[in-house]
Order: sequence, then structure tokens, then C-alpha cells
Amino acid sequence: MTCLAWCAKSCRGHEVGAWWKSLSAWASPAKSTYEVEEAVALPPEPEATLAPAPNPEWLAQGQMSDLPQMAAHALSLGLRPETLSLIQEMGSYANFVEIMQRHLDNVCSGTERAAEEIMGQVLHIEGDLSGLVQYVTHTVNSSEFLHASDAVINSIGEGHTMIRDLVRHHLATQCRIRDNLSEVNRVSVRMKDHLEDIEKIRRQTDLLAINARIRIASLGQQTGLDVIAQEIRGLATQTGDLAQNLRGELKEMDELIRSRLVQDFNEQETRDNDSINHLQTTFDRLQENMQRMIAMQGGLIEAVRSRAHEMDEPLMNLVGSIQFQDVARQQIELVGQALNMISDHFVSLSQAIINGEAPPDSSIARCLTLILENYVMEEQRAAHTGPGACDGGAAIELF
Amino acid sequence: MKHILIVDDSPTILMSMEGVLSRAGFQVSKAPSGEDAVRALQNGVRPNLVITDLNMRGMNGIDVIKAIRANSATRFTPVLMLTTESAQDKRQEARSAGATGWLVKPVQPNDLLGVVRQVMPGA
Repeated sequence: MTCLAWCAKSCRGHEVGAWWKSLSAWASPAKSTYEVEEAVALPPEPEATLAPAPNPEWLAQGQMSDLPQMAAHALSLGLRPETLSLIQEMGSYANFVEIMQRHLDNVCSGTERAAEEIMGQVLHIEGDLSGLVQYVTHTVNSSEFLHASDAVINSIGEGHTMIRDLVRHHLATQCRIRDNLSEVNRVSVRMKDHLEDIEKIRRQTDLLAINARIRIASLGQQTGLDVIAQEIRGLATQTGDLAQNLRGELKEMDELIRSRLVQDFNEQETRDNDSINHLQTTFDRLQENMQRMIAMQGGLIEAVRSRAHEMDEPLMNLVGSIQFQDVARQQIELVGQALNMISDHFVSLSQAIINGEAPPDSSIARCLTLILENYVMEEQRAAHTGPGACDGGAAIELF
Repeated sequence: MKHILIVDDSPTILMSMEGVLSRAGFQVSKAPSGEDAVRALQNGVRPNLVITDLNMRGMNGIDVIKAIRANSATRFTPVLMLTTESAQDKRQEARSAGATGWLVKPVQPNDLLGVVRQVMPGA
């Protein structure tokens, strides 16, 4: 079935146009410039009586199906064949409109399908995302995760308290050691005083010894040596006392160092060891809970990765579906070009009407032929010539 | 990573194809016209595959294929036509010019990736 034959069969407006082409040829075969593309039987000769006037309301509504009645009326009024040709040409506009309507219907249905597809994919992705959010929320709010989080927080707090206490104890120990060292310093000063006293006695003893040797040498026996001996004994007693004092100081210092400083160090060492052990236990717990949390986070990341992978295909389909815009754009662009063409044609027609001339060479049928030649999509050809009349091949073909 | 050059005067198609192909792990370059594509190839861009539209303002897809085949560096680069055109004579014209394959828009992403992997061994 050819294009025009299909149009003639399926399009009421085209039937009207074909009928009037033949009517025009019958009315003025020599003057008509319109090409008759289909052999259509001539209509019966018009009756001599005046045809009824067309319904004005139909005319206002632009109903082309009323054209035969209009033309019959025009013929009965004795209009020129050129005018009849113009009326006939205007009648074929219905065919044009119907084809354009089918193109726009295709755009509407195509965009509707694409929109439904995109919505389906968006809802699919939204469903996946909602599931993922629920999973993450459930995991984060699970008792295991919360327990691990609390344990980590507690361990960190406990560790912080222990380190603070450790530092505080160290500071206290330092203060005690400083006090003890001050005490040692005081004892040391006292010992220095004692040593100076001993030195003084030693010098006096040396002087006495020299005097004794001189006296013995010059006076001989029984010359007051008893006094010197008494002095020396006195000095010895003083020296003994000083030595006693010195031993006492040394003992005190020794006790100070041994009993206080060493004790402080030992106590501090014990406390430090306890604190370090406790701290180590706390950090072990912290590490354990951190590992649990890391494992749970790893599970979450894996779940997110897996869901993201599942979303790959719908996302890709979603991105691919956007191609409908280019297809719809091309279809609408073609309708726009066709409307421009028909607009130009109507300008020519109105010029012919004004000038009382025959229709221009370019007819609506010729416009449609040009449009048909410019189609690129199988869908466009099908809208124009009917399904099954196209030569489109497979959607994908490798050469 | 295999490199694909997409030539189309429709920004929507360029974005859509880039989205599909880059998600599949391909490096994608875009040219908004045939002239831009040929210029890029002349400037040393060496894609492993070219996907071009047929009907573009200025240089059309057939001209792009001819330019690719005329360039010794890209003579054997596979070229796929991605178009709304469905006429057999146009397919034949593209085939004669050296096209590797023909895809009618809109093409399903999985179908596109299948063809791309078929014409690019190792992709």
C-alpha cells in the first residue's frame, strides 16, 4: 500500500481532498495546476438546484468534513475553478493536521513511557537507598554497637582519669622528695658547722702540742705539764662530743634518705606499676572495643558498597533513559519545521485568494512529501505512512 | 583504561553516554560537533573507539567517519553510529564510509555496553 493510498484510506480529510481534486479537474481541466496523484472516479454531475448552505457553526469550528457540502454550495453559486481548487487545497489541511497530531501523540506517549521508566528507576534506587539507610540506622542503633561505643567512651574516660591520677601522684611525690632534700640540706649545713668546730679544735690541739714541746724543752721536768695535759684532755673530750654529734647527724641523714626518700620512691614505684597495669588493662579493653567497632564499621561499609553495586544498573538505566529527550527534541523539531512549511504555504494560498489566482505550485500534499523524505525515525515514518511500510532495520547492527 | 570519544550535538546524549560508559569503567571524551571531533583527533587524541551521531549541524557523522578513515593514526579505530536514523540506505552509506556498527537511539545501556565490548577487544 502506498503512502497516499494509506492516507486516502485512513484519513478522512485526505478523502475529501482527493474528491475535490477530481472535482476541480472536472470543473476546469485546462486551467488547474493541481496535480492529481490518484485516479479517482469523477463525481456525478452537480444538480442544477442550489446546494444547501453549510452549517455556519461547523464553519466556525473549522470542520473539514463539511467541505464537500461547502464546495457543492460554492459550485452552485458559480464560483471559479481556481477558487474551488483553493478550497480543495485547504481541505487537504486536515490530512496534514492529522499527521502532525500523530507525531505529537508519539512524542507524548514516548515521553510518558520515558517518564514512567525514569520514575520506576528512581523509585528502585530510592528503595535501595531507603533500605540502606534503614540498615545503617539499625546497625548504628543496635545494642552491640551502642555497647561497644559506650565501652570505648568509658575506657577512654577511665584511661584519662588514671593518667591524671598518675601525674598527680608523681607531682605529690616530687613535692615530698623536694621537702626531704631540703631537710637533707639542713642536716648537711649542721654537719658543716660541726666539721668547722672539729677543725678549730684540731688547730688548738696542734698549738697546745707545740707549746708543750717548747715548755718541756726549756724547763725540764715538773714545769706545768699537768695544765697542758688537762687542756689536751679537754680538747679530746670536745672532739669526742663533736664526733658523737656528727654520728648522730649522719645517722639522721641516713635514716632520712633510707626511710623517707627510698620509701617514697618505693611507694611511688608500686603505685606506678599498679596504675600502669590498670592502664594497660583499660587500653586492652579500649583496643578490643575499637576492633569490634571497626569490624562493625567494615560491615557497614561493605553493605554500602554492595548496595551501591546493586544500584549500578538502575542508575545506568536511569542515565540511559535520558536519551528520550533527544528523540523527543528531534520529533518536535520536525513538527516545528512542518508547521513553518504549512505556514508559508498558507501565506501563498492567501496571496492567491487575494489576487484571485490559482493555488500555488506548492501544495500541502507536496509539503507532506517533503516532510516524509526528511524523516529519520521509523516511528515518524509509521506515523505518516502507517505501520509496516518502513524499511528500518534492527536497532543494533554490527557491520 | 579504554578511551571512548563520543560525538553528538545533543548535550543530553553526551551526558547520558558519558554517564553510562564512565560507570562501566571507560575513559570518556566528548565532542559537541563533528568538527570538534576531527580537530581533537588531529591534535593527537587517540580513542580506542568513536561513537558518533549521524545528523549533526555542520559536519555529519558520515563525514566524521571519512575523516577518521583518512587519518593513518585512526584508520583502524572502530566507529559506531548512534542515531535516531533507521533508514537502510543511510546504514549502507555509513557502512560504505567505514562504520563498524549502527545503533538506533534510544539504546539500552546494557545493549550499548555489549556492543562496545564486542568492537573493543579486551574492554
